[in-house]
Amino acid sequence: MSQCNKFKPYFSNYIEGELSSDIRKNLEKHISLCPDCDEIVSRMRQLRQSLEQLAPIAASADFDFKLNQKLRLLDGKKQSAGFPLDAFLNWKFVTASAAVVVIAFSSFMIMDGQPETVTLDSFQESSLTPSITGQEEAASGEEIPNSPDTDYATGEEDSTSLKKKHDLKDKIKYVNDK
Amino acid sequence: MKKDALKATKVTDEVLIARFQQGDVQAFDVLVRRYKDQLLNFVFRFVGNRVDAEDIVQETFLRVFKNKHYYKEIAKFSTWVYTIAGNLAKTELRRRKRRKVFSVSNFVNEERDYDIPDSNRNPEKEVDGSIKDGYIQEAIDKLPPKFKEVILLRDVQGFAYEEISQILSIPLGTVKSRVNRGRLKLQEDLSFLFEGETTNNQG
Repeated sequence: MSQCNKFKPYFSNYIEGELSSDIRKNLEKHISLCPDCDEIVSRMRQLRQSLEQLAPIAASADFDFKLNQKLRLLDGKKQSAGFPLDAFLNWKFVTASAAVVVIAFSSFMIMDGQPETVTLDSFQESSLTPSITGQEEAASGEEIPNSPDTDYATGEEDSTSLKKKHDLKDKIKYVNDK
Repeated sequence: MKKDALKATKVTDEVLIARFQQGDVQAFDVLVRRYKDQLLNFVFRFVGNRVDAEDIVQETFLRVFKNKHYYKEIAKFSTWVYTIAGNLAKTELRRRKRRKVFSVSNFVNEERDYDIPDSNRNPEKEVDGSIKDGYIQEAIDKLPPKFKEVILLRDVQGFAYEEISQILSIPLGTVKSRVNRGRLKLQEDLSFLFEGETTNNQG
């Protein structure tokens, strides 16, 4: 029995023909005398053959399709992994442009909605910046036809710009003609 | 032109993975075509379930895709991809074991993917190939993973001992000793399959 256990570790090397001749001869001698070990070696040979011949299975028809889907998802994730930074940059850009628009628009509203206080108090100031005032008033002048009553009233109090006065005169004419 | 060049069998796996590392996705496709079936058979024999095996092989390729830059030329591509697949298969078996421990009170009788005939079969009778495969798979399933992996790589996949040693990161002597012990265990469990043939081989 102890002899059997002594040789068992070499069975695999034996069936694969990888034993040195000395060990192989001793092992073969033992096998010829031990039917149990002989049977084991024989079964190991058959087992090896059977394992080699196991019927292979093939990947299912949708294997490639599924893999491609997963890869696309992975690719998407990769892109979205960079997304927060992009979004942040976009967000900054959007916010900055929004701020510019808001500031521009509110300055419009201030100049336009409070002409009594702003423009009258800073009479000289407006004369220092005639072009801006002119532009703004031209802009407000454009809105007059939409709401002639209010803008008319506002415009009448605004005596800082000759141009506006001219505009208003035109509009009065326009309203009167109507 | 390029596609045809990649299809040629002369292009080694290592060249393909190098091309893929440089951004050639077509090279990856060729690797998938080359390896999907053999990996599937390896993993299928490992976990004994086709659906899980396909999932694991897909995950293997996803990891190759994601981690392509971790592959270094010092190893063969096959070594690398089998290491990934083998690790995923072992993880799956551990996961099942945990699940089994938790559900043991429910006495869950797990369904097999293959047919096993009733126990009062006659081993002397001719055994149909697929039934024989079923017995063999059942015996493989019973092997502890450390024996199972070496047997599958050596006897089912036909790898050299050296490469098995690299795939599993264990010494060559350990691989050989595990293969031997695994075969001893299997021949014992499957003795009823081979008994009839034993006498013919004697002498």
